[in-house]
Amino acid sequence: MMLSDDVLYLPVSELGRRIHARKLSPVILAESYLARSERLNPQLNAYATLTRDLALEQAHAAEKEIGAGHYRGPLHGIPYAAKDLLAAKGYPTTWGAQPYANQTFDYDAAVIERLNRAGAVLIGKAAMIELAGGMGYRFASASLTGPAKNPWNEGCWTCGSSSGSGAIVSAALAAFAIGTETWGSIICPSGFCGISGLRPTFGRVSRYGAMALAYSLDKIGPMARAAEDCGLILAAIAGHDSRDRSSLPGSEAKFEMAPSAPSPRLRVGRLTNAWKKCDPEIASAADDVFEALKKHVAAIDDAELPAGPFDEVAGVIISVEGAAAFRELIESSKVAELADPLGRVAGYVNEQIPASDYMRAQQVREICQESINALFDTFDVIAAPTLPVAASTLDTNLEKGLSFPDPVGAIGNLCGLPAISVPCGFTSQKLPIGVQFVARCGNERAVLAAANLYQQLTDWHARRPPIS
Amino acid sequence: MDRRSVEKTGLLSRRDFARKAALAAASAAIAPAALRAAPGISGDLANSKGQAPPSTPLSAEDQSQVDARVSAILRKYGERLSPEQRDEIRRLSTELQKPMIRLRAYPLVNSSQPATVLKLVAEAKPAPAKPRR
Repeated sequence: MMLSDDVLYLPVSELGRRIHARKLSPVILAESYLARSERLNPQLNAYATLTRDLALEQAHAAEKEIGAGHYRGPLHGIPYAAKDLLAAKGYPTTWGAQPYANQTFDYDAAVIERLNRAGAVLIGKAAMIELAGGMGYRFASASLTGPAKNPWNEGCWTCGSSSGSGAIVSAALAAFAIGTETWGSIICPSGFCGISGLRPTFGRVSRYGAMALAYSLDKIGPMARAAEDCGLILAAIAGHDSRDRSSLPGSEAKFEMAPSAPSPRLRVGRLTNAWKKCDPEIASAADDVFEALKKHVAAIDDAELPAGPFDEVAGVIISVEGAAAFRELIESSKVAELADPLGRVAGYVNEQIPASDYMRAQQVREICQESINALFDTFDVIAAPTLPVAASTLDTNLEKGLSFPDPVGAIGNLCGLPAISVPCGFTSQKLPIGVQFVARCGNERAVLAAANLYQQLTDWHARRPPIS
Repeated sequence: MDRRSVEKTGLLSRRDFARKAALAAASAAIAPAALRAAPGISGDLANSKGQAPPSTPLSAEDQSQVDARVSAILRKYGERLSPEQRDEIRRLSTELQKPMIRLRAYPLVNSSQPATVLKLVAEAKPAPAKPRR
C-alpha cells in the first residue's frame, strides 16, 4: 500500500502526531517516500544516493518500538534526507564532486547520530553542488549528479548548494531534509523551492562528520514544509559536541521547541537596504507579508543594515578558508575533475589571497558583529525578501544572471545569525517567492515565532508544485 | 594607544568607531563597480557574485599585485593549465583586486581585534575517524 500525496505533503508535526497515535505506519511511510523518490528522482536529480535498506531497517525498528510503547518524540519514524556532505556510515559521501565519488566513512556525522537517536529514518543522501561551491561554480550543472531541477518548474534551478535538499522537500520525496549553509545554501534553495529552511546560529549544530568549506562560516540546518517543523528538527540536532571546535557550550547550543508557548509580541524591522534592485512582484509579495503581520506584532518599522564592505569580507574569508580546506585537491591535478569550468581554476586564485587580507577581513568582521548586534536592540527580527529574483533557468550563467550584492546574507553568515526563509507567494511565472527573518545570535525562537505566526495567517507553505 | 585606553578616555568608543568606520565605508562604496559583492571566487550560493568585469582600470600598483599573483599561479601550476584557463585565472585575479581594494580601504586601528580567537581546549576528545577513498 502506498500513501497518497495528501499524506506525503503533510508537515512533520502532523506526521509525528499520526505516528504517535499509531494511525500511520513508519514502514509504509518510508516505503511510500522511497517509491516516490525512485520514481521522481530521475526527473529532478534530487538525490545522490537512496539508502533503501537502511531506511527500511530504521522504519521497522521505529514501528516496533512505538508499538511497544516507546515513543522517542516528534521525529520518531519520520523519513528524511541528508545533504551528501554529511558522513553516513557505509554509504558513499561524495561531497557532490567527482574526486570524492568513491569516498565512504565508517562513522556517522554528528547530525545523523542525533537524528538516529530521535528515531528519524534516513532515506537518502541529497544531491548538492560540488564541494558546496567551495571551488566556485558558474552553472547549475556543477554537481556529480547533474543540475537539480526545481519541482515548481523543471526548467529552473533549485539554487545551491543544498540543491537536492530543496528539491526533495518541495516535491515531497521526504518529510524533511538537512542542508548546510556557508553563505546562502539553505536560505536560497528554500526561497527558490517554496519551502521553509532554517539556518541556525553558528555553533548550534555540530559539524562533526560534515565536509568543511569555511571553518568559521559553515552551519547545518533543517529544510522542511513549515517553520514549526524546522523548530522540531532543530531541537533534535542542536547541542554541544566537543568534536566540533566551534560548537557552542551546552546551555547555548541546546534548543527546545515549545509550540504551545505563546508567541512573543515581536518588534519587526523591515529592511530597506537588503537588495539594490528587487523584482516588483517580489517586492509586492514582501509588502503583503508586513501587511499580514502588522496586526499581530508589537511593531513594524523600517530598518537599515549597517554599511560596510561586508560582502567583500565574507568573500575573502570563504575564499581563503575554502582554499585551505581543499588544499590537497587544488595542489593535486584532481581539481581538474570538477564539473564546473570555474571550479577547476578558482582555487588557484584563492590560494594567492594574502594572509594580511584574511586577517583584515576578520577584523572588519568583528566590527560588523557589533554593528548588527546594535540593530537587534531595537528589533527582535529583521525581514526582507529572501532573494530579489525568482528561480533562474537551468542554463543561466550564474556569473551574469544571478549576480548581485547580498548584504543580508553576508552579514548574517559573517556574524553567525539565525535566519529562516518561508514561502510568501508566487510570481506570474508560478515560481515561489520567499521572505526571510533574521535575528540576533542564539535567538532562533524569534525567527521561528515570526515565521510560524506568518504561516498561521497564510497558506503559501501548504501549496504543492505541479509534479506527481 | 590601545583600545582599552581609547575606550577609557572616551575619545572614540568601540561602537562609535564601528559606526564611523561604517560611514566611511559607505561613502567609499558610492563608486558603482565598487559596490559589487564578494570576490565571489568561492562561496556556496551563487558564488560567482561580483564577477562582472571591473569598470575602471586598476592602478599600476594594483595591477602589479594582480600580475604577481598570476605569475605565482603559473609558476606553480602553469604546466597543467590550458591557454583558456590561464586567461580565466588572469580575469579572476583582476576581478579579485577590486574587493581587496575596498577591504583594505576600510579604516582599522592596531587594536581592532579580529574575529578569530584561540579556544582553549580543556576536555579530552576522541580522534576523528579517517575517510576511505
